Amino acid sequence: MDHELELLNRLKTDDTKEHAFKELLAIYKERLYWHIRNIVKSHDDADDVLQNTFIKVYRNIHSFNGDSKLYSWMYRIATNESLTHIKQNSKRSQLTTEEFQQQAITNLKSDVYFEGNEIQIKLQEAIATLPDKQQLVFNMRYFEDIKYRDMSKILDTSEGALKASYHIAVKKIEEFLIKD
Amino acid sequence: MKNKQLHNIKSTGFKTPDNYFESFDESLFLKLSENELTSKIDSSGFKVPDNYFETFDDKVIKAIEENEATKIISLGNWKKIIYVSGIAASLVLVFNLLFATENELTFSDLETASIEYYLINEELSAYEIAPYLGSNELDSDDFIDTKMKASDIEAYLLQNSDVEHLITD
Repeated sequence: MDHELELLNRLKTDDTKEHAFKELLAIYKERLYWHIRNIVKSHDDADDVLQNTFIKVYRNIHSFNGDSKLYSWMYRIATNESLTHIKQNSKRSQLTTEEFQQQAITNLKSDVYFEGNEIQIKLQEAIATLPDKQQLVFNMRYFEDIKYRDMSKILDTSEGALKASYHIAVKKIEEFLIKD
Repeated sequence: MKNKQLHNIKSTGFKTPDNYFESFDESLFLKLSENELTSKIDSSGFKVPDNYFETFDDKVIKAIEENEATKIISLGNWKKIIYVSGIAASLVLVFNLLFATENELTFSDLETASIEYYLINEELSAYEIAPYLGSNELDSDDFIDTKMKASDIEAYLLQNSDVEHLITD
């Protein structure tokens, strides 16, 4: 049997749920962490969102019908949780999401969990100028190395549109980088 | 004849755009710097605290257990709660009937800041708010200054447009 299907069955069975959940954590926590971190930027926010993501997965695993792959379902939850987190925090700070993201990037300079140099900060600034969807596509392709086929299932967008998005994102980022 | 004609053709006929060679160096260096910039950036620069992933499992399992624990309320407790809240509700009703004053709270008594805070924190979309706005509140002038950002239009087209449809139309 497919390992993912077998894991899913164990996750849905009360007796094996806890053990299977630990297995799920071991497989996905790091990739989901980096996926979330690329969106929310700070470690503390990424930690909050990652916990919420796994709590949601644990609570809703019974309603997961297996129409999509388990990992794409989890990535979707992580993406939505991250975007909601940004939206809520920006509303709380009475800022637009763009302003809030710019602020998050400014904070990176003094973040102990950021070891990037000036160019990496510049790249983050460039990414923040893109629309949400293009940011996601760029991060997933450039930093997370996710295949278009898998990305298409996670973001529910055709591979062609994703490739176009990535292409436009790269162009804009390059323009931003060479501007100064 | 042929040879004579050939003899007259001194150049290939190819030509370059104006100032091509003058600007070639600049565009080449631009291209080179682009490649250099992107090749230098192979990671985002983010890092995690020591042992973060090692301790994450316990943290999330504990969070789930705490959540579950607060959710479990036994039936015995429920009966007590219903019993007590029943008494409380009747007391409130009696007090309200006996001591009802004429100072009723109206919408205008609410602070604007509180309403604003509520609207900001509720996940209300423009579509949800729209039905509550009458034509008196809306003026065509409100939309004159509305400018759509190029990035929004681009994102919309990428997500919603069918390229084949655009081509065939």
